[in-house]
Amino acid sequence: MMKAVHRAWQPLVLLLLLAGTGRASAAEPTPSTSTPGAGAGAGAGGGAGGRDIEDVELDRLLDVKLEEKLGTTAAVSRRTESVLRAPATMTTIDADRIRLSGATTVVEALQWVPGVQVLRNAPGNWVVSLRGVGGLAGNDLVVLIDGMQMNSPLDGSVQWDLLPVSIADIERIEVVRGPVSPIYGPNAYTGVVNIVTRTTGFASSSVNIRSLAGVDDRKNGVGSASGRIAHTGKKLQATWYWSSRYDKTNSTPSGTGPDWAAMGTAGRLRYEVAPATHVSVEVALSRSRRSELDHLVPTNALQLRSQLLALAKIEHTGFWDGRISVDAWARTNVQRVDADQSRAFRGSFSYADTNAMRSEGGSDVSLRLTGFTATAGASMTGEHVNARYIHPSANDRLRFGYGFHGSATAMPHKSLDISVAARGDVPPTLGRFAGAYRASAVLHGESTALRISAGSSYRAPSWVETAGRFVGNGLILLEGIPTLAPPRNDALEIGLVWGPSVDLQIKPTIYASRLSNVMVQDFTPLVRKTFKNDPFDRYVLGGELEANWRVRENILLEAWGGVLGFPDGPTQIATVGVPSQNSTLTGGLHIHGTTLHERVGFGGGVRTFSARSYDVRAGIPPQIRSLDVPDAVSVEGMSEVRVLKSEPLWTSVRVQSSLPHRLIESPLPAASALGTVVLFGLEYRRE
Amino acid sequence: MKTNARRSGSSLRFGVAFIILASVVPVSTVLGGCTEPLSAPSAYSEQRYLCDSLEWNKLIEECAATFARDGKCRGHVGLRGRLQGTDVVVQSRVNGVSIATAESDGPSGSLAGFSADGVSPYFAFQLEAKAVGGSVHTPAPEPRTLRFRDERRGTDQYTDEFVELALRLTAGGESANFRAVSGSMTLSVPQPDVVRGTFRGTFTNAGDAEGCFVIFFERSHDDHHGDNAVPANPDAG
Repeated sequence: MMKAVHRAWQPLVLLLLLAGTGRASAAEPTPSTSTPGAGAGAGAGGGAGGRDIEDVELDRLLDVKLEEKLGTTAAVSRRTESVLRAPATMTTIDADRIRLSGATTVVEALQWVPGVQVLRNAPGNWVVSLRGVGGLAGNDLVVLIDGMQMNSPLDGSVQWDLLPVSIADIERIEVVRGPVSPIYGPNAYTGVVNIVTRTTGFASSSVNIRSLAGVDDRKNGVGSASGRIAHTGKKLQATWYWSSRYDKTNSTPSGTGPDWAAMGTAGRLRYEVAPATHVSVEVALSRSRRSELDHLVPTNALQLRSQLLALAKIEHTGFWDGRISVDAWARTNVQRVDADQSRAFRGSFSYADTNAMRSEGGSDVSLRLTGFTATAGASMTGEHVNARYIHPSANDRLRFGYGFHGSATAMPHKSLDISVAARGDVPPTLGRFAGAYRASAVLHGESTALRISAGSSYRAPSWVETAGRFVGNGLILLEGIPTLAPPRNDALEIGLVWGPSVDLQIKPTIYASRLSNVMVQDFTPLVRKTFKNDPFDRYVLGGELEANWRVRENILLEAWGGVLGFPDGPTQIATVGVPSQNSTLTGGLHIHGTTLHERVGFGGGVRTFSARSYDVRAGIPPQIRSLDVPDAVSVEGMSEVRVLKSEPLWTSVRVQSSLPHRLIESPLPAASALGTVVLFGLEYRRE
Repeated sequence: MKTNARRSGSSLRFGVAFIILASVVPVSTVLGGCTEPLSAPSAYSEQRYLCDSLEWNKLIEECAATFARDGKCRGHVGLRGRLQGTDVVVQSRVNGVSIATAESDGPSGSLAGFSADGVSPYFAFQLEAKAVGGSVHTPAPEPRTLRFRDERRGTDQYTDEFVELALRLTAGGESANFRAVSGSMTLSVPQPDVVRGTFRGTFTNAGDAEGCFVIFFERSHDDHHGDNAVPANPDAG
């Protein structure tokens, strides 16, 4: 839509330029796109990524300020604000970048974000952590898709294989790093990944259908089919997504490891009940079969997971001439785990027959005045878990929690924003109060913003950690402890956003984190193996750098790097939620763009990470697993061509290769190995 | 104007609904009082230490009757204390027994050592006594109190008033051996096929514990005459 507006104004702007009055500026940031209510945690706005490559020349002509160029986001504070002035480090992966990166899953796209670490256990089975904090449970960050929370109600882990939509149907992925529990609640301990799916604009309908097929260097195959149909009427906007995938590429070193088969579907309706009042309903269903391999089940037994996500939201933005907006929302996440007995090797323990549910409801009130914005709200959570490995006293019982939150941003000076946020929760598994806080100051000019922020976040102990009871051969081999204190992440960061020209943006960030009450499995006492809070604090120091340079009108070069270190060195063997205590250096370079009047798209890049060593405890009973991962490089490239001028039919080829070949990233036994995959795609894209 | 008024009224209704939702949900939760801390007690809390209770004698009588009938109950062990920083309570039926006697000490022999296998909710264990000091004839109804030998202090291994007691724990492929270094054990053999005793002491790398046991054994089957893992005390008798 923005593109259309720009095109309409282009002759007029040129005329103004000729007249010598070609300067335009905006006092307030203008959203570059408008994404309708994605529910709590997602939200309106769009990053630079929503912008079309063609807009660049116009930006130059208009002398667009950096703030306008970066656009807006709702991922940092859950209310629309300028990306430049947002009080946390955020990276946006936009739809163009996603498409031209060649990534076929969200995790593959996340690997190109500084501060994000990915462990690939098996096809469809990943552990993602932010800024070195994550251990093997992968439950230290919150993942939202259109406001629906993906984290497992059981242990907070993220089942990336259960994303109900294809990556090609994602408008943008916003990765907020640093403690954001004051905004998102207990589990946003190290950050949040906010996924916003694509819809059509308010003017037309769209159809998007695609398929992919490929093979790896061990002749294992991958194939997927997905699509999206969207229709927008005068008051109703409806989108339906579906996706399916089979993937056996990059399995075990021998190539005989487990495969991954997944399917998902999602529907999204938004209806304008009255002027400034909208109702949104979203439902997503997904099912996946993949390796069970994780920190508790160190075998490649196959498991089936099913997930239901739902969100309902009603919002009204018309009070007090639009200065006050209110919303009420409810969302749920239901997961079930089955075991595929026919093909699985059964270990001593599996997640089979697990049922877990988290339902939340709440409401928020936002006030927007000149120079001041504020949000306050309350929420309630109900959780229910039924599993064989949960303590009989806690199993199959509904537990409740509640929380209150508030945040405000004041602009005491035209170049200074001061933000504070606080949240208090009684999480269901904790049963007592825990608080999270954040304060930040952003000093900003036309092309620069300097941000200083401090925050304290925590993670609510999971059902496994508080009430797990894992029995093998008649003995309790691992047991949860209800009195655990929530692990806490206190962080201080300084970030700079600098746009020396309209074509170049540089974003360096440095941070220091103190991790206290870190959760470790207390395996020393043979008389009772359980979880405990590590009495020793750990410190993480790190830095990240992002640079985006528009080399030519349609070509963007991105460079990034990240470094993190643990000044204290190894203290206790890492397990759940504990950093691997390896100083790591990561970096990447990616170039993408279009040519031949946008009939050809291309992207390619290289990323690297330094050697690291793992000594972790995994399995029931626990065993120490060690792995040395060497320095490694991943090379990826893609190209797409529009084959017919009359129809939007595209073909593509993608290549992903890891060097060295057969690289194993995960310390878990029988983990998969990376090699080379070649994929061919066909897509009908009528937007 | 009418339209605007209708819109305004509609907005008001939505606003009221939101405010009610915003306040009612959390308040009802708090008033409901349904957010108490999670309850998931240790399995030790389900165990009862019976050594000091009347139930112990009843338990032993029942076990003795079962043993006499079909040999299926081999005794009971009770244990409590703080081991490895954890409060431990164990009440276990004995699953396996091994007895060592010194044959030279008369026709029925003198007790040289014994071991009893049991299970707790978290581990399997073996209570093992070796080098029983002095003469504990079988039967020897009068209890005899023996102190635990602390090897670190260089106590003479074969002094009559000492005994070696060890608690070996195994769980999930791991094992640990805790040896008693201070404290004492009271031991008796009230009948030719019964060993009974109590103990209280400090175990290396573990902590303090006390307990009691009664073991039923078949002399022909369980007695290893000191040649199978449980050495006899040459000073005995």
